[in-house]
Amino acid sequence: MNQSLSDKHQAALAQLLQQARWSDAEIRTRLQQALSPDYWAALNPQLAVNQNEGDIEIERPVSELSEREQWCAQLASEGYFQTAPLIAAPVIECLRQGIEVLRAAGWPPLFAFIYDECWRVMRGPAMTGLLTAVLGAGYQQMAQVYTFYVQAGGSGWFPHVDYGPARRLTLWLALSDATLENGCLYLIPRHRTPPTIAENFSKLESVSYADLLTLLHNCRAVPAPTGTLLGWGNDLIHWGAHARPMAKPRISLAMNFVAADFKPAASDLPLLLDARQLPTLAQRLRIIAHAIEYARDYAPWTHKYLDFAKRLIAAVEQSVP
Amino acid sequence: MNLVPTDAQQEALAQMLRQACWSDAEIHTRLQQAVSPTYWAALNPQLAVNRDWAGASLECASLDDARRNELLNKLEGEGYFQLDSLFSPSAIARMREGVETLRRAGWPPVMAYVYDEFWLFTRGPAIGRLLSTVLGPGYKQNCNLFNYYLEPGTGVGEAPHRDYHGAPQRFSVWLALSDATLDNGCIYVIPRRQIPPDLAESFDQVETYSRRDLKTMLQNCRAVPVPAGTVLCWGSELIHWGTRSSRKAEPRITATHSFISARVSPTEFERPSLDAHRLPNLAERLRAISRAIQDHVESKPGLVKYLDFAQRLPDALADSAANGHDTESADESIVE
Repeated sequence: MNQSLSDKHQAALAQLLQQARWSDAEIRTRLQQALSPDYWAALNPQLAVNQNEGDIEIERPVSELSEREQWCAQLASEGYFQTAPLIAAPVIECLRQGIEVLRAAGWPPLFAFIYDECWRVMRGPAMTGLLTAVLGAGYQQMAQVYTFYVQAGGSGWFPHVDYGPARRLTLWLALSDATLENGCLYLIPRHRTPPTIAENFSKLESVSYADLLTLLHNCRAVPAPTGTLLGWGNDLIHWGAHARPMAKPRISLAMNFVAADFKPAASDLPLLLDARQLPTLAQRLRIIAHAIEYARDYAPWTHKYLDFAKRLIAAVEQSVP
Repeated sequence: MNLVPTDAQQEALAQMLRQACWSDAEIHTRLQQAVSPTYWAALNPQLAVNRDWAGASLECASLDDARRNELLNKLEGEGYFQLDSLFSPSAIARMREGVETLRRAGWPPVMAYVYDEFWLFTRGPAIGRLLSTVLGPGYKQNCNLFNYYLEPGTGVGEAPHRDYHGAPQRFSVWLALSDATLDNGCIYVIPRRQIPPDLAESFDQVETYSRRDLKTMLQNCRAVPVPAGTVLCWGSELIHWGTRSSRKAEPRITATHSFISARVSPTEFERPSLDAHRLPNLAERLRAISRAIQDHVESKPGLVKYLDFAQRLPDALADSAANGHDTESADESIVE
């Protein structure tokens, strides 16, 4: 329940969060592990670390043009699109297993982005074709990624729009079935969102009763089977729902892409200029650390890793000037 | 989007509506048909009009105590529950066919309430026991009822609302006659205990909502797709709505009833109360249908086509009775 907490409860929660943080000794050990490709390869031998091999089938075969046209048409009219299960089942299974192994070893699921497969799922022919069709040739990947692992009784991110330029696309991949039971995405199709709300959602102080009714009435649950991709623009109101107490975990990845002419703000991480190349391990670690910091407002669990994330950024810069 | 039509557009719309409405001659014919049990029986021979059911019901499964308690706990916690596989699929198919036949014959789907089955589904032992537990013995049926037929691509369910705010001891029963899916406008709810009580209380009572309240309500809404034959039941304070039907969807067809405890007095909107155990006679059904059309015309503008008919239906019933035709047979079931 989203009831307001008393000061006492808030203090208790802050204390619990502080206690949950990794100790200095643990952070040192984790930093050593994080910087070691061998550590990651040994932890998840079914996944690759900077192997740049192009011989695995990332996507199932699709009748590319007709399906891509449907995705683009839905994106243009409703502000989002959904594919049928697109990513090959063995790739999904390796990634899901990898995330479970990471969690068992005490790592946050975001560290899945250590592995090539996490990056390669958005670099298959269908997704490359789609990104080119929507964003134009030379599109770039933003250094913003996220791994969702919503446990029974947990929640996805609260309703929000992704910030950024108009020519921006978020791609989201279901690594497990995202269902009504385990907190699938909900959204408000763009053409059903009052324009003033869509443009200012992140700055809204309040809404009228009429707008509240419009938003509720038009919200849409979007369950997605494993391997499905969802994509949306920068102005789509969306959120992850609450998972029921007995639900299976909802696991997914998200990445962001922009057109070639996008210039990041000084405070942003550098873009991955060639979105078809895989980032280096150092880039991946930097991106993961920043993702932990970025998610602090959306996902309370990240507080446990904030100290580590800061030191990881420093350690990466020291090891790879 | 909420664009305000110009005067010329409004006039054009009014003209189109007038053209769509039944003519006086058609209303006359329809009224004659409406008061005739034999007309309805011939139109949908697979359904019944005032048959003696001798205690039979549409339920084909029983509800054991454990399951019943589970449902009641869910009602207490979330403000609603879902009951699957209670009715025989063939009964649901007959009812659905009845609605489709009515539409093909030019009737609004709400005329389905001339048939026994559309009253019988809340008068079986399992639903009856649940209602009795929730509302207490002697509960009554409110006269307001409706059935929804959301057409693919254009159908839209009711906007978010509560059935009766500040008037507890009411209970709604909603029956899916077709699959109600994410594509054809299934019900969405905000489970009662998912949002703070003061926010739930303020729904439809204040002009503006904070960003935090908006996010809380959005994130806590829940889609409830159900297969045909499923019953959804909710209390008077549950925030719920029906969504839009997409072009590729099947029609979404449902029927609803509303009940009130004997411990409270019905409002003007709910009167006259009906006996919740016996089947109403044809005259009572037609009066309830007339009310339903008139009460829903504001939220369902398409019903304006039938408004004159609905308004003239009670007089037609009186004329029919004066002429010795029998629409009042069977037990009188109005209790107030």
